[in-house]
Amino acid sequence: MANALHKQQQFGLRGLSLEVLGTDACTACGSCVSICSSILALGDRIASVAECGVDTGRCYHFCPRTVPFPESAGLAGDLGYKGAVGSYLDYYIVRNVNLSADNKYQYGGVVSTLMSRALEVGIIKGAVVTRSSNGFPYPVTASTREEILKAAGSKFALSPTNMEVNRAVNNPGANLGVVGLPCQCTSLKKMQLYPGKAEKEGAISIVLGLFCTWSLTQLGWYRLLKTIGKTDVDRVDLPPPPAEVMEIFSQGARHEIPLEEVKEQIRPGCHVCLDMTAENADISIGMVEGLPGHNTVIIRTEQGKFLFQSAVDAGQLEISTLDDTRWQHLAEASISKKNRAINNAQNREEALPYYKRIIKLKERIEKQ
Amino acid sequence: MDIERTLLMGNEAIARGALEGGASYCTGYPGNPSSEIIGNLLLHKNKYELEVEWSVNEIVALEAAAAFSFAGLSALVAMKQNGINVCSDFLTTVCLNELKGGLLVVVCDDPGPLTSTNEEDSRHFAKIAQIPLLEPSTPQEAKDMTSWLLRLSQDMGVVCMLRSVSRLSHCRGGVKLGPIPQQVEEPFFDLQKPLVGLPQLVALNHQALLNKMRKIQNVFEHSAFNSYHGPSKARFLIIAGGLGALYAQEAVETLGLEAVVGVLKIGTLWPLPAAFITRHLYWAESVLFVEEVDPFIEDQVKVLYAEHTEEMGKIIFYGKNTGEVSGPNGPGVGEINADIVLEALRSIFNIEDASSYSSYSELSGKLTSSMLVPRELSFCRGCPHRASFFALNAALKLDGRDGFVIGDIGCYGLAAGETGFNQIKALHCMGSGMGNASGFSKLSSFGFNQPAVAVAGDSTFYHACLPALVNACFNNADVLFVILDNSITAMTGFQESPATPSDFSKENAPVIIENITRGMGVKTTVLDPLENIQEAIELIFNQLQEGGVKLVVFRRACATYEEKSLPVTSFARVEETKCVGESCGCDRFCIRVLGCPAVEYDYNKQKAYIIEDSCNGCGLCVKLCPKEAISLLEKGDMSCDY
Amino acid sequence: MTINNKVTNLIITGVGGQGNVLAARLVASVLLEEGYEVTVGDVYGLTQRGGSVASHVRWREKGTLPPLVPSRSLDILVAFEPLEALRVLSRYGNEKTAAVVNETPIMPIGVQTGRFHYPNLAELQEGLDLLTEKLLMIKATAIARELKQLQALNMVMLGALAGSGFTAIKRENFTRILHSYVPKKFVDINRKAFEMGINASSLILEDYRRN
Repeated sequence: MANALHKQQQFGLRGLSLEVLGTDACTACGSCVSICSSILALGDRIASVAECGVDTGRCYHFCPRTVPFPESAGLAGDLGYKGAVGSYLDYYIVRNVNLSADNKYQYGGVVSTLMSRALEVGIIKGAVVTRSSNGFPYPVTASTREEILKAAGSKFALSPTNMEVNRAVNNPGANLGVVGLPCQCTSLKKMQLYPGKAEKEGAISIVLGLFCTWSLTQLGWYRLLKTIGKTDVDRVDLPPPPAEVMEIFSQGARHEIPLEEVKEQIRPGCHVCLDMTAENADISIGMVEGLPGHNTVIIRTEQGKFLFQSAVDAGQLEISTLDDTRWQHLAEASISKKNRAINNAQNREEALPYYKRIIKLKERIEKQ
Repeated sequence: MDIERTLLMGNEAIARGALEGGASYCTGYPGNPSSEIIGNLLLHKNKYELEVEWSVNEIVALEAAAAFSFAGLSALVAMKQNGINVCSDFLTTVCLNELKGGLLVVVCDDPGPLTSTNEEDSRHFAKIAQIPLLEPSTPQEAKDMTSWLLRLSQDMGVVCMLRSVSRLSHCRGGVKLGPIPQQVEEPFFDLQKPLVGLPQLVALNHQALLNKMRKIQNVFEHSAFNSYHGPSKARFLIIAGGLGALYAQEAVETLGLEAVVGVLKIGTLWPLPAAFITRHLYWAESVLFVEEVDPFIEDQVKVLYAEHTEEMGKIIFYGKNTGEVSGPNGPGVGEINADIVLEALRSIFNIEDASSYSSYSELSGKLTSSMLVPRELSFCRGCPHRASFFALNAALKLDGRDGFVIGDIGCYGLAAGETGFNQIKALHCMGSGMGNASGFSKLSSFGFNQPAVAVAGDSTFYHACLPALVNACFNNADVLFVILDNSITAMTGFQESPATPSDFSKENAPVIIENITRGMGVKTTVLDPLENIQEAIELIFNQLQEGGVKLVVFRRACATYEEKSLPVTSFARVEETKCVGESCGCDRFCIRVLGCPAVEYDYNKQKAYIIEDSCNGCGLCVKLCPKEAISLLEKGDMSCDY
Repeated sequence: MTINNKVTNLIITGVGGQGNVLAARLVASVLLEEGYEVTVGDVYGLTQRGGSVASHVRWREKGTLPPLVPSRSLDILVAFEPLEALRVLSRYGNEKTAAVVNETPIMPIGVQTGRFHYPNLAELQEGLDLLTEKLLMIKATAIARELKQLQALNMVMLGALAGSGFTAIKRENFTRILHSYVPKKFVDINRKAFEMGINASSLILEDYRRN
């Protein structure tokens, strides 16, 4: 069956170009970059600069918007709908015990702590994280706690993080942890499941997913900064409703941009994304509304549970129960993102395979 | 048998004719198929009393040459067919002057075309400007006509024109050389005879010119450049100009029609020697015309016939107007050759072509269709344009607004094909890309948002881009220009341009592009695209996001030119253990995408390999190999292992 | 008239940069010295840049010839590249054509990029054999590399032509003319290349005779 399908379709760059790359479905996750020289990235721009004759290639297989091989079918972000927030083992409200005073870790610093812990206990040898320069994000591989901390803080423009994973995984014996957005986590899961994985390649051992409602294009982010006339950004915040603004702190001053203007710069691929809570991560982390300095943490896999427990046991994280109201609230937000995505997919002119697939999901969500 | 002959190319023969005709100044702008005329004269510059130089474009060349003529010395200007369009504004006014020294315009047309963006027949300009025009059939005649026209021009005080075609300019034949005269005239500009084209003087001058042309027509009636071969009073006459006369003669001999068909070779095309032609037309019942491109002689002879219909009786004309003389693309299109004349004669005389039905033709057809692969042109090894267009391609794809590149004439025009990643989408004449691109940017107010990037070479930049650049600034266009500065006019055979440094230290070019453009207030960035391919992509991408007029100079010397003086010191080698060949992660990127002539693929080993004596170590494949499997090695002595 | 006024048509073909244009010039100079009326026409696209380049060399005792060989009228072919040999034969070849062909292919860009396939070399050679009366396949590139001077390829091929006996051109005239066209420091290596070319075709001809 799979073979028959392979004959009909292009599972290489040609297919990717038809279905995703350069279309409004692309999330610029970076999973197709750094595999070869036919796809290049500049900031969060990704383009095929040459054709490729390979019929079935990793660029297509790794993409979060394709379902190329049986192992990857059923992942969240596609048809693998398993309830509002995906499958999980546990969830908590978590606080970083050693939260530093400058409050750069606006969601509680849990991500940095977990990743540093993974290095400490030897689950990983390097962590692919996203650093930012003037608010423009770019991925790096960190191999020390200090390097990880340098990457802390939220970014509002997307970085094609997975291109760094593709690069770093080429180093034999590489053992990576990755911090990614939901789309990137889906792709990382596909990388882990990819049947054609070369033996000499390194492993992806832990994936920390960040909750995400949307992200901006880098060009859009550049345009927004231009409106306030600043390029050196200290911190960016989205205060909870009813505040309809984005706050940008630059040189000690606070600037506001109306949310409506900000939303115009959202990447089109985000509008058709089903995944708010990084359903394919080992651990998913988000903020807790009305409780600054704390994080919502969803433990999804045994590997995730092991790492999390180890950080708690070491006294680095302090846990408390996430109450039912908050949990319900989170589920609603997640479902609402899925519904928006499906509606948007229905309304788009292009009839991309990804849109067709997610539209089928509607009935299943309504049954719940 | 005469042994005092030298093997000369048609263009070399024209150059020799300039010397024998006493030219003191020769100039032109490089353009196939004319480039070797000035190129050859430059070799003689110091041997004779002669000023030779490349001009920045054709009108400047003609204007400079006219100064010599105004002062009483002779001058020659050489150009390709497009060049006469560029200089025509001056040509059609200077022709009205009473010249003191000879002034000869040599135009080499490119029927086919073999190397051009049009197939223009420059002979019409002789009619437009009312100047005498000759066209040679052999290198010998090319030399003789050149020197003769220089003298005619001086004697009659009119501008003269010689038309050649690619095939003649580039063919070689034995030429008997003549003596080269010593310069005797002292140059002097006579203030009593001003050359001012005031409207009230134009009619008088025009009348004087036409009178001279009538005298010249009389000279042409007896010119040895016109001749007749064949039976007396031939009833079937071929009237041919230029190489057409040789093709006609060969076709007649091949078909054994010498006793029936006469060939009237016309070397003096404007004004046509009417009486000479009429004499032969008188006996003819059928006339076939053989000439390159347009039916120029054909139309004139028909006018002549109309004036003499009664005495001549009925004549059937065969040619381009009637369709008998036709190449594969139809009459009036493409180059003429013996096969075309043969076919015309066969059809007129009802002669079977035995060879076209032979088993040999059938076999060769079969083998051709199964095996004959086209050999398209590609950038040379180490060509900086490969890097420049890779960067343009990547930046435009990353930009994602369906941007495109507009080019013009030069090696970089090949970027319309695979070697330049199919980037160029419009290509017309010198400098046209810049004007086009400014215009495209003006479409934005109509909702158009595809970026149009204009590219031009360094030589083209000086030739025709400066007005377009000023225009873009003047009219506030949002446009990106990229100058592909390889510091030489490479396409036409490496003629120096104002960007050519005397010792390739890059700093001492006579006219520096960025000094001009920065002076205009154009934001200008200079970068070596081969050394900095990643930066080149980012630079183009970033410039595409900015408004206003931007200019990028991709500066890197032409590899093929540089190799002539600097030895190749390094080469690239593929590390086979790292090369993944056709599999995912590469798919032969260095060969399939970069298309470098030095890289091939070993299908048995499934690995790329670099032909070391073909590689000049430019390093582009090293930088773009996705597996970092290629590295640069120093070239030792010639003992590297093949 | 008693003179033999038969036209001889020779085409020297190759890929831009291989040096075949210079080779044609040498042949023409030799012929001119021998007293023939000779015309050389170079056929190429946009100058060179990796395209096909063919020089048509035509001569007879009396009467100027136009620069292009008419279709199916080729007497002798010298090809610096086997695919180019087929290209010329497809238009100009006939049952009587004799050919000297360098074995080593140069890949066209369309082959590199994967749009076309270069023909199988054995099949290509078989095709050339069918389209010629006599065919000498020469390992000319290998010989030039042996001399550590790839640019001497044209002299190897001219030597192979001289050794083939396909033309009546005198060998000693070639070596004499060579001096006036080749820079002094390269004369020795070029003469060596020329001689190795002669040997290469002589050896093949000997093989022919023995079989």
